[in-house]
Parts: sequence; structure tokens; C-alpha cells
Amino acid sequence: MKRLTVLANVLIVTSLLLSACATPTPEVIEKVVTKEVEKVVTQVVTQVVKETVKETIIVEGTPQIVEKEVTKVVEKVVTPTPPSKKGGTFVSSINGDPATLNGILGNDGASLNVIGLSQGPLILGGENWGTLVAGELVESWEVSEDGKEWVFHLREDVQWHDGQPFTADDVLFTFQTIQDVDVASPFRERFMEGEDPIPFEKVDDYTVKATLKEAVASFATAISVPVIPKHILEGQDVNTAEFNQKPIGTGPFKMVEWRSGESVEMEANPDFYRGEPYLDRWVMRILPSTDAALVALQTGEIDFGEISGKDVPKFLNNPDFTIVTRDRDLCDVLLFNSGKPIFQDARVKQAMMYALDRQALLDTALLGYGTLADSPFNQPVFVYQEGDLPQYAFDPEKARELLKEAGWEDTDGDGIVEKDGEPFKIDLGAFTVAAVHQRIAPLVQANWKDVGIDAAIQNVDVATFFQAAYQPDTEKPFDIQFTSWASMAPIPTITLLFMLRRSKSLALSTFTTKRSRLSLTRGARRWMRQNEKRFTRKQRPSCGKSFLFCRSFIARRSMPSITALTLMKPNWIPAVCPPSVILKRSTSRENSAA
Amino acid sequence: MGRYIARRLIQMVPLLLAISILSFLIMHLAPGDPTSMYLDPTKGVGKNPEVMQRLRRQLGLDQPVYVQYFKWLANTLRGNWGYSFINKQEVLKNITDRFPNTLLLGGVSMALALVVSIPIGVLSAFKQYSAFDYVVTTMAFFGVSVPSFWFALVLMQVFANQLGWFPAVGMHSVREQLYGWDAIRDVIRHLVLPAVVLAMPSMASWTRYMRSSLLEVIGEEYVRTARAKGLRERTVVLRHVLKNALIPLITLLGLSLPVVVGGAFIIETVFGWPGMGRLGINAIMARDYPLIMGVTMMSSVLVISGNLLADTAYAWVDPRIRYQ
Repeated sequence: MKRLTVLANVLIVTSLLLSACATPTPEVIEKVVTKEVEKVVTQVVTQVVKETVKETIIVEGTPQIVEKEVTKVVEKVVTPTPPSKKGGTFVSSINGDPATLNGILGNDGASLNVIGLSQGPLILGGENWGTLVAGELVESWEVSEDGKEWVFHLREDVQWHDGQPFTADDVLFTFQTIQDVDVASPFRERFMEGEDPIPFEKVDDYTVKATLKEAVASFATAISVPVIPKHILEGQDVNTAEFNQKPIGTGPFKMVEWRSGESVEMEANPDFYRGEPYLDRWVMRILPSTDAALVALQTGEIDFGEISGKDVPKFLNNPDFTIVTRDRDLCDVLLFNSGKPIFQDARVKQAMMYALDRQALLDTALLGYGTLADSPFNQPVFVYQEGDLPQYAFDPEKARELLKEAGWEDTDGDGIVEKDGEPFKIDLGAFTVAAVHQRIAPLVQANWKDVGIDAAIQNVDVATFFQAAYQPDTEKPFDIQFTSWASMAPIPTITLLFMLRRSKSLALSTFTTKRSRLSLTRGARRWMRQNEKRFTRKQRPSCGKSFLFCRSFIARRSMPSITALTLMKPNWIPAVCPPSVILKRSTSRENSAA
Repeated sequence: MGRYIARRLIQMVPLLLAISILSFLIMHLAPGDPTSMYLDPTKGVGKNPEVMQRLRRQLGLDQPVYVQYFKWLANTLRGNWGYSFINKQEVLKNITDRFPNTLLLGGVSMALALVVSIPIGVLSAFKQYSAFDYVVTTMAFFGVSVPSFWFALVLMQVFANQLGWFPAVGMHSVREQLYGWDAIRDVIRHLVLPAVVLAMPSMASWTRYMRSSLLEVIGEEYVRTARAKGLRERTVVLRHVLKNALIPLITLLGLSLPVVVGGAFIIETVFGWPGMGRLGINAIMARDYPLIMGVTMMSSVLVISGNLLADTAYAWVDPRIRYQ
């Protein structure tokens, strides 16, 4: 008896050891061709377009929380009914408690989900309101010839949820509140020109006029923030008002209740100016764990959820579910700390790019649901231009060549390249809460090891990183860092600004020469000229004006400049030569500016 | 005995003070600034260091640490626990919103663990080395080693998804409005899975502990005497053995109070249960100082009181113990 148990134990232990050593079988990955579909809930025929939510590094949450930087949207239609069926409750999920439901204060994913349904901006198409430029609370707008006077004509049939009419007073109140320094609205800068607030005037009850000192092409979308009601918030401290928990807005859904930690409940607004919503109630469950959200989707406790590419196979052949895929304005990038001497040579960065098998990374992390990036602008952003951009295919041989050219060679046979006796050792940082990054970090490390680069994976806490990184004028605490990135479409200049260096700014990494800055400007101007029609409806900025605009933006703003390496998902320029993307069309001489 | 309790209660005050000082210091020592959590330093207003400075002043963060501490202390003693940085609501409101939920979950899971572990532990001890005993021991081993989030997901998949017996997430059903008994039944249905997962490690370790404690008592002289006297086995077990074996368990109960109060955050996160554990962890990640202090102090009070209760029960149950 005893011998038998011993034998059994030995067998168990050996089999465990063997299974641990076995190479993992490769997953059979079904690639589904992504198609761009408007992210509209098919059951509901409301105007509300669920827009791309700007994704910053997810701050809140536990280490278990998976970041919402997914590339696909999955929608479950509970009963496959034709869209004209009315009524019912729709349940979706958000990944945390909203910070605030006040439209001018809330800027995180969870808050924006709720704000998007209950409130609305003047004009769609700004930072949080999708990529399509169209009037929402505004019927039309005009711009003067010199681009400095903007007149907005508001809709006259809009009512607040409590029945009061929406007028220009509310718009003015909103803008003035945002301009107030004490309110600390994250959108404040869009309403200022340098230190001065942009003056808004009321022309009549439904017309608002703004006078700028300098023409700004994207003004219409820059001011796309939700409007807050004057008759409720006037005289109150906006930061602590009760309104923040139970807002009154103009959107298709009214707030009913926010149960802390559990759910946010909204009901239909029958007086919505675009028609009554087809749903009775919309409840958002607060589910921080995406795994749990997945199960909830399967059990029917939520009707709509975003899932990661790797979970798609579960729902593929299930008639209860409809899968909607959409390219998102989100990109995973590797940031170079280009202040470090090791990265001064452009060839080094190019080599690191060639060394990465990005398709494999995409397949591993998201089962292929994503696209390789090749420009700083993501595909859904209409600035993105296909075709002409340098593609960095997986080519380790070329990588090794480039490294050799730059002076890095493996002289002592240990597999790591050296230069002047210094081995190529760097730290690869990944945030602990970013599951996708954590998953692909070892692969990146392996790819780089293959060409002789020794990268050690560092797990970084978000808060610590940001505190250390955003000190102006100090050395940044990282070599290479995984992060996520959205290009804040459709204001391309903001992304352009991200690439320029400002000496005293909060810069994650610094880069560019004077020449490339100018080239950048030229390129931006050219872009503006080519795309002016898409930008505004009636404005035709002349060549000189857009140039002026670009230059003034570039000269005055201090924005972090980042040199980033594209990883996957919508396009980003490979770190080595951001200017060349814009300049590809104009000149070919500035293509190694790093 | 009464003097002992009074002394312990008085001791609570300096203890809580020490805890508050320590927590405050550690909180401020952690790198990371709440203002960068609140306003993204890369975009918009955040990039302007002046605005950040203003924000810091508004939140009271530009003062030296000890000044901040005394301000916090003065306010707290007066009943103003401050406002959360992140959602600008009163800290007390945040806590009282979530505290009953945590209590419910923790209380039920503890009760469940007790109800399961005591009988099984007793049976296992009396049938030592039998098949039943081996099964129980193995299950206990499993229960202690299994990671709770994995176990939670497994239970969710099996019971919620495939069998459909219980809802997977949340505390209430959101699709329909329920009142009265229906609402209570609804909460109970939602409570089952999280309570089981939360109770699992306790259940497992308490079973083992009961078993060993019982074995120890069974070997005592007085048990043999009782049997020799001719008492029924049931009386022997219930009156003599069990009562004495339960004493160490009271200590264990006292030690697992922190779990009840704040440690269930993994389960709360996975099941979407609106509890205080999740609140606390989120606050820490977001460097929400007032909320962190509020949650910490609340938990400390509860844990200390719980331990006091356990000690008192101990003295009451075991006549050999005398407190001066």
C-alpha cells in the first residue's frame, strides 16, 4: 500500500514537471477581417453615437483590473428584434465608479460614459465626442473671413431634463465657469488664449458669438464640452455641488440614481430634441473586473460589453450575440526616453523597431484584432493617410545590421551587443495594471534579446511613474516605457505638438531639431490646406492663416514631446523619424532628423 | 472583568491615535501626488504648473505634513471627515454607502464558514484516519491554496453561466425594480457566490483547526472520565468535548475580523460587490488622502473592537482565564 502511494506521488510529480517544461502549443488564431462599423447600438435609434473614449493610462482600480485599451467593441443583442421595437432596459458596464457626472469636470472613461448619454456638447467631434464634426446643440455656425469671429446658432427646441428651456445663457455660463481658475476644469485651456479667456457674447437667446485674437481652425471642436444649466448651478460651487452626482442635462437619458460602487441608472428623456429614445431605461453596472464583465455578458446580466480580442472566439458562433468591430483611436506604444545617450542614434531606434515581430505581439495579446501602426495618427482619425508611410517589417537581420552600423557589436560572444565596452542594457517598463502590456513585455524582451539587446522588464506603478516623470527639467526615470496613446482626433495639431520639444515643459522625452520643427509646421500647413473642407463647414482659411495658427500653437504651448515606437493598433510613427511622416510628401531630405 | 474591559476601551484611544499617525505618514511617504491623479499633467490645464499649485493649495497639500495631520485630526474629532479628492463627496457618505454591504458580505461569509467548519471538523476528528477524514483534509488543503479570484471566476462560470442558479455580478438586479421581500431575496441570491468564495479559505483552515483542537481535547482525562461514567456519547461530545475545543476557535475568529472589514476587496472587485474593500484600494491607488484615512480609521475601530470582543468572549467561555 505504501509503495503504491509513493509510486503514485512520484508519477504525479514527474508529470507536473514535464508539463511545465513542455512548450506551449501555439494557439489557433482565427483572423477576422476588421471592418469599420459605426459604433451605434443597433437597437436604439437615438442620435447618440458612442464615441471613442479618450484613454489615458487607467489610474483607478486594483492590480486585477484589465485596462480598457481594447480594440474591439462587442455588442450583445439580447433579442434579435428589428430596431423599431421600443421599450426595455439596456444594461451596459463601466469599469469603475465615475469620478463626477458633471460634464465640465469629468474626463475619465467611466464618467464620460454617463455624461455622453445624459448631456451633450454644442458641436460633436471634439476630444471626447467622436471623430465626426457635426452640430449637436448647435444648428449651424459661421466664421468670419479672418477666422477670428465665430457665431453659433443654437437649436431652439432643446429642453433641460427638468423642463427649462436651453438658451444661450446656459452656454455662456458653462464657458465662463470653465474659464474660472478655481473650477479646475480639465478643458480650461481650450477656452483660453494664452492667459486670457476667450470672450463669448450673447447676441440673442439662441446665438453666441466668440471673438478670437488669432484664428484657430479647430475652434469649433475645441469647445465641444457638455453644457451645464445656469438656472441650477449659478451661485453654487461647481466642484462640490450636488449636481455632480445627479446632473441635469440635455441628452437622451435622464439621471435616476447613482448607487455608489454598483450602478448608474438612467431613464429615457421623452422630450429629447431628436426624438424619444427607443429604450425605457439604461443602467450601467460598475464592474471593475473585465473577466466578470465577460461572464455577466454571457449570463445576460449585461447587454453590451467591450471585450478583448482574445475573448472573441467565445461569442463568434453564438446566435445570441452580435459582434461589432471597430478600429479605435487607441494605440499601444513604446516610449523612448530620448534623452538617454543610448538612443541618440536614430539607427538604434530603427533597429529596435525592425527587431520586433509586431504581428506576433498582436496575435498573442489580442488574437490579431488590431492593426500595426505606422503613423502617430490612429486610423479612425481622418488625418490618417494610408499608403505612404514607412513600414517596419519584422527583420531581425536588418536590425543587427543597423546596430552594427551604429557601432554596437557583440565582441565577447555573450549574446549582448556592446559599444566601447558598454553592453546594451536597458529597462523596459510596463504598468502593473496594463494587462496587455504585461502579456507582451516578455515577447518584446525576447525579440530584442535575439538581436543582442538586453532589456529587463520593470513593473511600474502608475502613480509613482507619473510623479517622477512629470517633473519639468529633470531626468526622466525610464529607458523605455509601455504606454497607451490616443491622438485626440480630430485636432491633428495637438498630436503634432506632442512631437515637439519644449525646453521647460512637462516632457516625457525630448527631441527635434529646429529644422524639423519648421518642417513640421510646413507639413501641418500643407495638411490643413488639403483638409480644410473637412475641418469646418464654411471656413476657408488661407495658407498664411493656417501657418500662423500652427506656428503660434507650436511656439506658445508647452506640451510633452514624445518619441515613440509604434507597437500595434492604429498608427503611430516609428520613433526614429516622426517628421518624415508629415514630410513624406513635401521633401525627402528631412528624413533622418532624429 | 468589568475593569478589564474598561481598561481595554481606554487603551483604544492612544492606539487609534498611533494608527492614525502611522497611516498618515505612510500615506504621504508613498510617491505619487493626488493632483496628478486628478488632473492629467499631460493635457490641458494640468500642464500649467500654476494650476497644479492652486489645486494643491485647494486640497491643502502644500502645507507641511504635520500641519496637514493636525488639521485632519481636528476635523475628524469634530465629525468632519473631509471630502474625497476624486469624487468630491463627503468621506463619511462614501463609507456609509458601502459599509453595510461589506458587513453583510463579511458577516454572512463568516457565519457560513462557522456553520460548515465546526460540524465537519468534529466529524473529521471523531472519524480520524477514515476515508471521510482524508477527503476533508484534502478539501481543506485545496480551499486554503486556491486563489480566490480564480475560484470566483470558476464558480461564476459554473453556477451563474452554465447552471444559471445565481446571478454572476452585483448586489441587486438592475432590470426590474423590486421591493420588500422580493428585494431581500434578490440580495440573498446575489450574496451566495461571493460569500462562498470569501468563506472558502476560512472554512478550510477552521476545519483543520477544529479537527486538531478536538483531537487534543478527546485525549484529555476528563473525557475518559465522562465516558467511564456512562454518559451518552452525544453528551460527551456536545457538553464536554466541543465546548472546550471551541475556545481556540474564538481566537481565530478574532484574527479574521480584518478580512470581514476590509480584506474582501478581490472578491468585491470580481463580483462587482459595492463594498468598502474596493473603496479603500481605489482610494489608495488614486492617492485620495481623506478617503484613505477615513477607511483606515473605520477599519481600525472595527478591528480593535472585534478583538476586544474576542478577548472578552474568551474570558467568559474559559473559566481558567482571569483578567486583572
